[in-house]
Amino acid sequence: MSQFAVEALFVGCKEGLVLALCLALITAYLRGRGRDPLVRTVYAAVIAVLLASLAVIMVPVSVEARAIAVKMAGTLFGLVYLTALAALYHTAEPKDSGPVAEALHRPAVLGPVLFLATIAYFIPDMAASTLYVSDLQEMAGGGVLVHITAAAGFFFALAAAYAVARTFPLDILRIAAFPQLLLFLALIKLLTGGVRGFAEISLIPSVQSGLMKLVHDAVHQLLVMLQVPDHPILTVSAWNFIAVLFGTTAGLILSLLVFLLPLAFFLRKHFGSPIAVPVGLASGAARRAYLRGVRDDRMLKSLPVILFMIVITLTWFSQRGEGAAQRYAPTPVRLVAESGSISIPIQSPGSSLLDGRIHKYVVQEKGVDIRVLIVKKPDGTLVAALDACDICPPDGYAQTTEHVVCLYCNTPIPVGTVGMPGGCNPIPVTALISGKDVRITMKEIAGKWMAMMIGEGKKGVRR
Amino acid sequence: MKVLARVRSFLGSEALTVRLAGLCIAYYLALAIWSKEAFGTIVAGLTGNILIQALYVLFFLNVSFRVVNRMKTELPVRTRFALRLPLYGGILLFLAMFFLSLNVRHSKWLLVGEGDPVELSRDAGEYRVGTITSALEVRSLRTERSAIFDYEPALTLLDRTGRQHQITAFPPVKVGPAYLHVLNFGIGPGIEIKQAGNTLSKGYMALRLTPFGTVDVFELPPLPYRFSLSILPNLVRTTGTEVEREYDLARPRYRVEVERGGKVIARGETDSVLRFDEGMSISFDRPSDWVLLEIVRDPFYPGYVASLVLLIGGAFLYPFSYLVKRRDPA
Repeated sequence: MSQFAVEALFVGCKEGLVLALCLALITAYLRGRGRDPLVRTVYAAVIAVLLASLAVIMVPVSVEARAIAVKMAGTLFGLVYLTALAALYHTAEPKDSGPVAEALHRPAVLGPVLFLATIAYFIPDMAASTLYVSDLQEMAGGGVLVHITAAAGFFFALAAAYAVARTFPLDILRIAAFPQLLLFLALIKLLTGGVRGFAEISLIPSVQSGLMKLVHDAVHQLLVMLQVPDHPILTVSAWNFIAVLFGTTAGLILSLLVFLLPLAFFLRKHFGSPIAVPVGLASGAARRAYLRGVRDDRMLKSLPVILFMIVITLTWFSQRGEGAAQRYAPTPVRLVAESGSISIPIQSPGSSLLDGRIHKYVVQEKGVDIRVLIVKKPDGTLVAALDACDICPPDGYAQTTEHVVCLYCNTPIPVGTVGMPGGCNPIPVTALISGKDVRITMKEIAGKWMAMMIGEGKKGVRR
Repeated sequence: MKVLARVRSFLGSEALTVRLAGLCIAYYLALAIWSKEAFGTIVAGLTGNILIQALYVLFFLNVSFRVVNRMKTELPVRTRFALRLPLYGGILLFLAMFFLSLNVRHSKWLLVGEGDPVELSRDAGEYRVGTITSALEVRSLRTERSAIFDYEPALTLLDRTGRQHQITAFPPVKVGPAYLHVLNFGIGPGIEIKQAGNTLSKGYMALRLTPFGTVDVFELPPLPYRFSLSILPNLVRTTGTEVEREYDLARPRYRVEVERGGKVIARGETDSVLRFDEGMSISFDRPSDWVLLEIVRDPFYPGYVASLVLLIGGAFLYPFSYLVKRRDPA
């Protein structure tokens, strides 16, 4: 079996398992709540998702649509997690239901909402994974083997999970009310939401890098307002320790805190809120039994939350999606300018500018080495920029999962924004991109490189 | 009165905090996934978007009411109250000062050399740069692991009465209505352009030549030339695998390249003079230092700094408050 078929089998198994696990949880919850008719609604939604996923094989899907599907997967995780937090908060401090919650209890509303929510939960991952399998098939040289392997893996995993669920029926209501169910679904999405086969199994690196960027931006804003000087001065001043806050370890710890803090607040509230004993319970024994029952229930209901926190904490530091060890920093390929420009072929033996990785080149102009990088953006377009920014010394960039990272100040730049000027972004250069190559004039790159070197220093001779 | 009580109860409710925080997270999430520059967009919104500003003010009021209510309940146990007060105060002060500072701050960058005038504001009187303390030793030694600079740069600012103000990189110093600090530092070679012995241009050129080896370019209109300059080591020593480069900043060696109409007409290494284009010359004198000064007018800056001090101190003290026994309500 080819490596593409193996990967397709893995993708199929993963999606099958995810679907089976989520269905088992949702249906067990609905049945436990006596909402059996809604189970059919969920199944109908899943069939719609499977049909839509099949459809993306048949019709051509634009690069933009693919990018949207990938972004939707991340958005959906965020929404499920936020809804879980809101629901947890609501259960920790029960209040009168609002008009939205009231409306949701009506079957005429709940059915369609559940149908749409199920579709929204599954479709981005399913569709994007199907597209990925189609890419694998194309790379394997066509045929149907890759698709068949993926489908076999999917249905095998689904059947196996169904058999397990039949053998060991879930009593989910013991440990999960609605918020905990949502938290389980968020956790599953986080751990399995990647849609790029072996290269991206979970969403953790994306969530991690997003939160690390938030931490980095917040620290940067604080320091700018505090009037802390530029990096070169920082490296020799007593404020060198500030660099620690920009480092990977601090970023990982602070981003984990940001992620888990709401759950920690919930646990504190969940266990700390007083227990209202019903007035009818006169005897001490009945009162004690009641209190113990409530405490046990609280403990059981907190288990999914604690599990979520443990799993996230363990995977957070083991995956280290944006860690220095996983930075990709290729050695620049030396080019020689011809007729005042450099030309880089889009496809060459052993290399493709469309592989999603940064490609670096160096060309000499008047004794000065000028570095250029080219990368494919998430929307599928190629973009060229200098391997330097306007702010830092020109140490260049490395690549992580979703960012290019300035090697001098560790600022993560989303790949989607490469080509935009300003800040620590790589300085964009104008390039002529044809179907065969990327052509950049030496005037363009040399001019911008020299201008970058000048920075704020150019103010003319003071006579 | 009932309406007032309801407004107060709404503003002081935990539900409002949760909803505003949820709204902020959802907005941030949407921006981060779909437009990427989420934090910058929100900060820009705090200074220019009335809706975001209104929501921030609502959040501030909400936190204020909640903090005040919380402090009232903590008050009976004085030690506990004292240990928690800095954090609570820090949160309120930070939220207020961050917003105000962001909205009223005026800042500008000024590139100055020794003797240059500095205008802090229209009515703040005259100031002038006295001396600049270089960030580089006159004889600088560099290896692969060396920092860009040897010291923290500084300058003295003189007012009309001759009073001196020492300005360093950090912390900023208040002079008149503004806070000043050194944002960056560089070398300005002394340059003289001559044609057949006659001086056409003379002065110091503020260039970015650090880290050493960095190439900077300049033009001197109306002269039709473009000059590229970088500093070379005066001495290179190799010890084992380590290469030490020594730079004499009293008499630096430059790599110079002169272009005219896009063509290189002269290239050379010199510490004194380079001749080019039949009769032209560029000569170098001892360089001067330049400093990029950040001048900020922000009346809330002290409050902002105080809020950070309170927050950090408060975060350190707060856990100790759990060691103080809570008074039994009965």
